[in-house]
Amino acid sequence: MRNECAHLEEVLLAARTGSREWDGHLAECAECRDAVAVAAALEGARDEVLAGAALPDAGIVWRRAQFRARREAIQAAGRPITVAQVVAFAVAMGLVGACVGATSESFQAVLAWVSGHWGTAFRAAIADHWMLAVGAVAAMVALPGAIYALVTALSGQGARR
Amino acid sequence: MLRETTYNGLTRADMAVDAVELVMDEEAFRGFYERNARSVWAYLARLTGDRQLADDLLQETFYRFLRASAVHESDTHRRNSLYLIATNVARDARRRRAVRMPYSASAEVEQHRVGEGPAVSEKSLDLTRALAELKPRERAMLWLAYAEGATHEEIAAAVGVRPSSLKSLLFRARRKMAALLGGAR
Repeated sequence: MRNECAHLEEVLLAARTGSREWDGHLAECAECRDAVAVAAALEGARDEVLAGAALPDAGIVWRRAQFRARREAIQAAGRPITVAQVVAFAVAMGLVGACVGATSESFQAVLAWVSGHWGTAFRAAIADHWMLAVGAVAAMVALPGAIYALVTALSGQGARR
Repeated sequence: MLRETTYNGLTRADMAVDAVELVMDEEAFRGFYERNARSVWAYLARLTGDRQLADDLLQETFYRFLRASAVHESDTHRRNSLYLIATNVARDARRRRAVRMPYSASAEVEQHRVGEGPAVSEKSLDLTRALAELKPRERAMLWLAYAEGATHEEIAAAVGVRPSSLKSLLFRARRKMAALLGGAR
């Protein structure tokens, strides 16, 4: 790491106060010359930037922050309930399907007919187009996750507004 | 969504509202805001080159500060955290726009040229153009060092670099800006 000129602070202070004490050093030290040029450009720039700026009152900022914090807390509190409801619904649907499959004779008859007539053709199609089949299964698995992530991101953006 | 009754007719959401806590109370916040809002706004305006965007980012900065669970040892520490948040907020805004901050073909320069912005000197326009050529971190470091008079430790905390790296980073930024200002003259 390079070392800063040992006189930099004193040179900057002298430049601020209009002293010419360090003029000789400035003629020789490029680092101090750069620092004086940059400091001269930036000093006072803050006031110029702030001219005409109308900042909101502290009370307004405080109330907006409270309102937003509460809204986000409500959303965060609601999120686990939503996830639990989705899981419960999926489990219930699975159980209903299993019960129907196990007890319904007509369902089993249809299943046997389908596997008898279409099973061979289906297996052949999978063997020929296995990459397509893998892609389709992957899409079915990934799609709900992608939709959930998108909805979450969009609701997060909405909450920030 | 179903409203889940959990206790005395209150839902989890109702209880979450009661549990919301900000890092300080309103009175303390008012004082902290009065002391720092103008400086932070100027910092954001210079980082982004957009006064209107700085208004929004100021609100976001103070909100993130209030929601952070950090414990601050002193007012200086609190102020450093605020500037670090402001730096990150400006960086996030830049990424959202997915373009370089609008300094070079700057709306700010254009506003001044057509007389819509606040009255500024030619020197200030040179400064704006020079800042446009710097990287955001370089702009941040130089602004904090020379417009705000921050110490090296404060600058390092605000821009998120190691204090040991700051001197050389600041040196390079300063040399680059001096060359740009030299070209403007």
